[in-house]
Amino acid sequence: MEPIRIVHYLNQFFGQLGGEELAGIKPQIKSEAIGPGRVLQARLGASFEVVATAICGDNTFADNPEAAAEDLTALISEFRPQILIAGPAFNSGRYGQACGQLCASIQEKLAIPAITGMYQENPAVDQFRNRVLIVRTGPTARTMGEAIDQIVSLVKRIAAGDPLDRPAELGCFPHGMKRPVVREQIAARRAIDMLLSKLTGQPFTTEMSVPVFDRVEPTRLKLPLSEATVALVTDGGLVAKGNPERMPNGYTDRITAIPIHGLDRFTTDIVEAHHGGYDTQFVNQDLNRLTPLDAARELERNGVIGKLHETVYATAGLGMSISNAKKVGREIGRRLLDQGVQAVILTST
Amino acid sequence: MGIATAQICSMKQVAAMVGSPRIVTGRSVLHPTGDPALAPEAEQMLRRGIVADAIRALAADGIPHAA
Repeated sequence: MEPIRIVHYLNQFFGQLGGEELAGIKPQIKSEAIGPGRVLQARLGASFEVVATAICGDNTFADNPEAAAEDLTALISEFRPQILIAGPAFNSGRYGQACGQLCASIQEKLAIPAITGMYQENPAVDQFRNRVLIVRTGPTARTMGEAIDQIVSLVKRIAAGDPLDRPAELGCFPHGMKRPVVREQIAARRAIDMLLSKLTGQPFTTEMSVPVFDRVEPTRLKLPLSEATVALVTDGGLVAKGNPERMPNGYTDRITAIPIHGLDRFTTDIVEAHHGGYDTQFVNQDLNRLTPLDAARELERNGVIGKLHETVYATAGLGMSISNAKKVGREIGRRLLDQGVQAVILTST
Repeated sequence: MGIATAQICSMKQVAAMVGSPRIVTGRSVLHPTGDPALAPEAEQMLRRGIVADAIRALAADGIPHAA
């Protein structure tokens, strides 16, 4: 029997082309298994063949996801795959979005199953879990071995034609779909039983689990902009020259506070970008490309805003857990409120 | 209480999903408010435009979290 044809998708890093400096490379495809794909091939055995590896730079994908997915889908279709495996992407934001978007596109355009893997806090999980099979992985590539084992076992089940309509029972993120089941008692009877259990302190299980979202109501500006104090904040790793506050370039819960009193624009002798998650060469030529101090000063001079706050706060938003992001956000927010700031322009890389 | 925010970013879907109330399109993940491919004056115009969009967004109500 012919082996089942698999195409594997990787970013520039796992595709062994290079690091952040190559995050802008265009979609491409190679007719071999690469990196994690070799492990996949070894564990899948001879009934499967990884016929090609599609690779795209993380920034290329993030800057225009639809176009990147379309280009990759065209490249991949020429290899006539029967299954697509993407990643796994662990907790990487851009890579996760690429894997999710590509799986969705391949399923739709080529009508073949696709599977990827991510960490629960990857923003792409919520974006794609309703239509893409996403295996639960650990946060980093240290858990690659377990992630690949999980993917391999599911790929074998897909090939065997097993129904995979209950992803949560397979170590994957639930699609959030509801499926009809037949119960012995009618709903009114079940509801009364539940109520009686509740009233008498007996255990009971709700039939309707309500998801809990962390919602923040948008704050409205309560005074005209021309009277407001506006602060600049960035997650792109802005630090004072030489990083005297010693902020890590990622995976951090730390912030920097950069005084801008008397500055009309950022110059490279005063600040720099310190961030391990994107190629900082362009913003390090001109830091106003990251934090638009010059344009904000013009607005202050022209009276469009009341005042530009004299401190810029920053962090390095790379591999940042949601708990750390909340901590960083609260700390910056608390300081800005204490300092009488009403509005923030946040720039994100 | 609270601070009005406008976020200049390129990964807009992610920003919308986590509930960012005012999202303004940045030029690139690599340089949100600039573009090294442009001449200095054109780049300055680009930056003024993006920041002006953020200012306009700050004056608006903001979109509640849809998720």
